[in-house]
Amino acid sequence: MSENNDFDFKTVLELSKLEPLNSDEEKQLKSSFNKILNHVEVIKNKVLSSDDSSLEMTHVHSENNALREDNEDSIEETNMNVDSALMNAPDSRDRCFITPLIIQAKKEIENE
Amino acid sequence: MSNLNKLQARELREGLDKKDFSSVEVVKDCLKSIKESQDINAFISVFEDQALKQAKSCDEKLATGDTSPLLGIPVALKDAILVKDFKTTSASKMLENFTAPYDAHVTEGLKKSGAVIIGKTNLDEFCMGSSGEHSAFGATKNPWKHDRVPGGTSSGSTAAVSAANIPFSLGSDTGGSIRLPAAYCGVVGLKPTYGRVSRYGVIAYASSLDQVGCIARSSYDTAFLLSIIAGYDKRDATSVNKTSWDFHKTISEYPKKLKIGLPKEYFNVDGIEDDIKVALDKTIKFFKDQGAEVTEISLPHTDLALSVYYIIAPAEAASNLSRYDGIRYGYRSKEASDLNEIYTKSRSEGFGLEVKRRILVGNYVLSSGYYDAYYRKAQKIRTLVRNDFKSTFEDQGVDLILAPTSPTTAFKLGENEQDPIQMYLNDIYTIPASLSGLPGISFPIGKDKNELPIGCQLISNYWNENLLLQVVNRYEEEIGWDKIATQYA
Repeated sequence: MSENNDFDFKTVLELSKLEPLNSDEEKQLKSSFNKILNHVEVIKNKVLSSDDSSLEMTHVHSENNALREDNEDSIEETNMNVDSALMNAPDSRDRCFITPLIIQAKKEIENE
Repeated sequence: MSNLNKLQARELREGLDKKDFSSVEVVKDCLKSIKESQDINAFISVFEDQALKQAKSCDEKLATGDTSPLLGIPVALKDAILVKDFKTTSASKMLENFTAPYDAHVTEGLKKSGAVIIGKTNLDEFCMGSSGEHSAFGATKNPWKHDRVPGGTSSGSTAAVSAANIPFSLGSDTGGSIRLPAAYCGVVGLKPTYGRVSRYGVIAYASSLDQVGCIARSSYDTAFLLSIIAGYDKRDATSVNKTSWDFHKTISEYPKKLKIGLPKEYFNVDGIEDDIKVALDKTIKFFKDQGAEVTEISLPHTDLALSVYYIIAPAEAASNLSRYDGIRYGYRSKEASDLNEIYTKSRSEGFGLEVKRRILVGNYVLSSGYYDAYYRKAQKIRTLVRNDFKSTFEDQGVDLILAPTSPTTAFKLGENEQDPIQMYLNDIYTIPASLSGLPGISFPIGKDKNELPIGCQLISNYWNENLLLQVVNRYEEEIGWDKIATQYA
């Protein structure tokens, strides 16, 4: 675990697009985050043999992945139509997802 | 007849075919049982009207001689599996109002086979947990003792079968989420080989580990259900084009020769309850008496498996759950004023504590500077764990590995809530097979001093679910259901 753990915790929260809902949750999350990292430290410290290239895993067993044909027909089979895709959208209009402003915050625009 | 909910699927099939009772009667008894045991909180949604309508249609089809295998038999699905036009929540506030736009592959199979889908069952949020307590819809309780956990994450699917609300159900198993609750609730739970059952339409947690499986009150019913859901599906790239067959039809074919391995790393450790050791000893003796050769084996990387799992699974979870951003579907915070706030506030308000915990760990071990030390190393050690099994099955000629499913029986609700590591340790015996993609089954072998069920786990080589089911079937037949833990046998 990093020595600068407080920095790590804040950085990883930001990376995860998460923020604690209150100070209790922050304490709980931070404490369990540290406990889990302490527990998995054994992996970090495990010394593997000098030639460990044969240990790279791409699949758990010897069977190959069954990939579908890479063509338009096979993609169509699994795609949803627009109405299905929008039916669970929190906000939509004119067959589009509605999102808030991306480049500038609303208030900034109002102030201009 | 009354209490038709207590019959196994095999008996329901016979009774329905002989017109001893109708599907409507069966479904009504199941619905009554669900209502009577509502306090165990096994279901998130019950499709009462739809199920009765479907049962009526099944009775009409039965009258015309339709022989679809599950025609008229009720089944429930873990609420991480999509059923078109019904809510699928994954027990999260994030998906509280999410309506499935299509059927999962396994749902299609059930519908095609004539099963009556009676409802969706509770789980640990996004399949993360070991106890069944981490649900936005409240904890599920163990039907045996309501102050105990049922185990997770397929908590509702298992509790509902144990309480005889339904004959069988579907769950999913990532690190033990079918086998562990099956042990705690005294039922049979099977995790098939990775790739045996398509995950198309199943909400993803850790994609290199997730597998759909079956829960029932007997090996026969488990096999019956597996025969329906197994098979190749091109919509899941990890689905393997392997011949599946009617597992229930070959279940009586007990092998002439059987070599069972007992991993010393699973038995010679502190922490296994004495009652579990005694029950396992009796089970080992049973198989010896049946002619099996029993030998001690070693799986030397077992001590690293739990840590490997709690690096790989959170890493995959962090990646899979990044899709929940409040834009296209799922919960959107009302407090957000710009896009970045929508992401952060929606995720912070929509996810529960255990999910957040795993996302944080996952992103940490994947981030620059830590990736090689944690994630990459964990993947390599995962190969070593898998190679332990490979050597046991291929070099030493072991057919089956017998082990405890869990070190304890069902613990009290809230007991491990504050300590995630203590909670994760419940998965210690189920995780190695999951990391290796191997099939495993848990079946009841007795009760402890508190009258709580004890589970035994069997692990076989890839694609050998048939052997697991045959061996458990022999055990059930010889020991007799009245001596096994299943509550309503």
